[in-house]
Amino acid sequence: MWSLMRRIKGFLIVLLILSLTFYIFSLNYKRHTIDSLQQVILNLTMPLFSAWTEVFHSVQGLLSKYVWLVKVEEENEALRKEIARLENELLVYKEAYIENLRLRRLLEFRNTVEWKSVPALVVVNDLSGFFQSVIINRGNRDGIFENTPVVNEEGVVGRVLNVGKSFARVMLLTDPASAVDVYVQRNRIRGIVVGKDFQSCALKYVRNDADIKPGDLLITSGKDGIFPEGLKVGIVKVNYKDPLKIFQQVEVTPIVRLAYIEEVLVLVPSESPHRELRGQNDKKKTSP
Amino acid sequence: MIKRKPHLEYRYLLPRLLIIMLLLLFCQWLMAYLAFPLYARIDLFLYLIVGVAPVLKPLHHLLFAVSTGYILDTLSGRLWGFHIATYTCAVAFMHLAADETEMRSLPYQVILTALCVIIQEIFILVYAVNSYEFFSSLTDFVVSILIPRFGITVLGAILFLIPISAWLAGRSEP
Repeated sequence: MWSLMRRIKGFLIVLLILSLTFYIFSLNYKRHTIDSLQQVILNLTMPLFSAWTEVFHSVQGLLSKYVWLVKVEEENEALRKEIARLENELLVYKEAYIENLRLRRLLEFRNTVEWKSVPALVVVNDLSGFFQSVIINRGNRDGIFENTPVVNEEGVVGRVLNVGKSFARVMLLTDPASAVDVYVQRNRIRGIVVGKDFQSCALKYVRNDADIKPGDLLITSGKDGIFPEGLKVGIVKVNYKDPLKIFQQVEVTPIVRLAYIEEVLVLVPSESPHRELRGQNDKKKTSP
Repeated sequence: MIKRKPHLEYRYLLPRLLIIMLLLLFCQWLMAYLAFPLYARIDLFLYLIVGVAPVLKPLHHLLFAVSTGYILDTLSGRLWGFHIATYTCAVAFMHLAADETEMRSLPYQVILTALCVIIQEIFILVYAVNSYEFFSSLTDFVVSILIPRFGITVLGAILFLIPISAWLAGRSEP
């Protein structure tokens, strides 16, 4: 018996590992929240990511200033130290000024949206690059729940996928599971924008005879029950009409540069139908 | 049968592992922050999982791989288990052949890394085929992203595995 076990040891290990792998992947169908262990990992790594971002911003700023300082030194050696001091001071003000501009733009945008908006910072981008999502520093305690729309001053970013106590994972517009009901602004033709190939999107269910042109702006229709109406989603890049198919293929470039987002707004409806519905479902589940 | 080398004392190993993990996390974060193209987004922690094998006991190696995978899956996107599964497979491959091979040998480690990248890319391909709308053929995706990524990862293995292995094995003989 033991000799047989020893002979098939390798096979058993491979079988065990494969079972473990399949089990892990099966968790994809169960996980809907950022659990406490993930919360701990995010809490531990967030200061690191924030510090690295700060350092990176400062280095970028200092490098650009250094080039300028060399020129000043050539012009006037005596004022070099003074200029360096002023430069450092200016750098701090410039950072504050840029941040102010960004926040101002966010606030202006916030005023145009009737929903209650929660500003959030992107803590970390998807490290692998293949799964289009980011983690933001807002969660349940800020009133965020699954499928809450996420936007920035340019347009639609995505929607909340998993929520934890103080973090949420946002599925970006370019993710294949993302679907946004849209209108073509020019002629109100309706379609659904989905993720295409990790970087861009596709507009689906647009009939072959529909008038779509490259450059058309797509805006949310508000009919998907997630996004409010009138937010910018993307621009038609190119479209193909296959006579053998009912629908044309439309390639869309997202309005928001999703690879570089730093700040977002999470739109929480003041009267949340999702939350009420979820509350009712929970009551049904708990009641005998 | 080749005898395994004595395992490192963990009080020397753990700080080194932590430093390497921080460095790799920084590099991985930098790639995400600077939005590197997909073909250049290699998984740096794979080198650590392969490089650490000779200095950890099999069970500890498995635990280390699963916890590293868990951390990376938390910091990554939707496909839960992508890192855990790959690293677990890497551990399995390494210890399956451990009695017949020298785990410290660089060619062996590079071959293992290549094998693990192939597994990763199969996962990505299956995910992509089931999820994405591809206008052009899927071959383009494989040729323009997956094959260059494989090449870069294998070349990177030579670059990363030598310092990682050397530093981790630095005090193996007391």
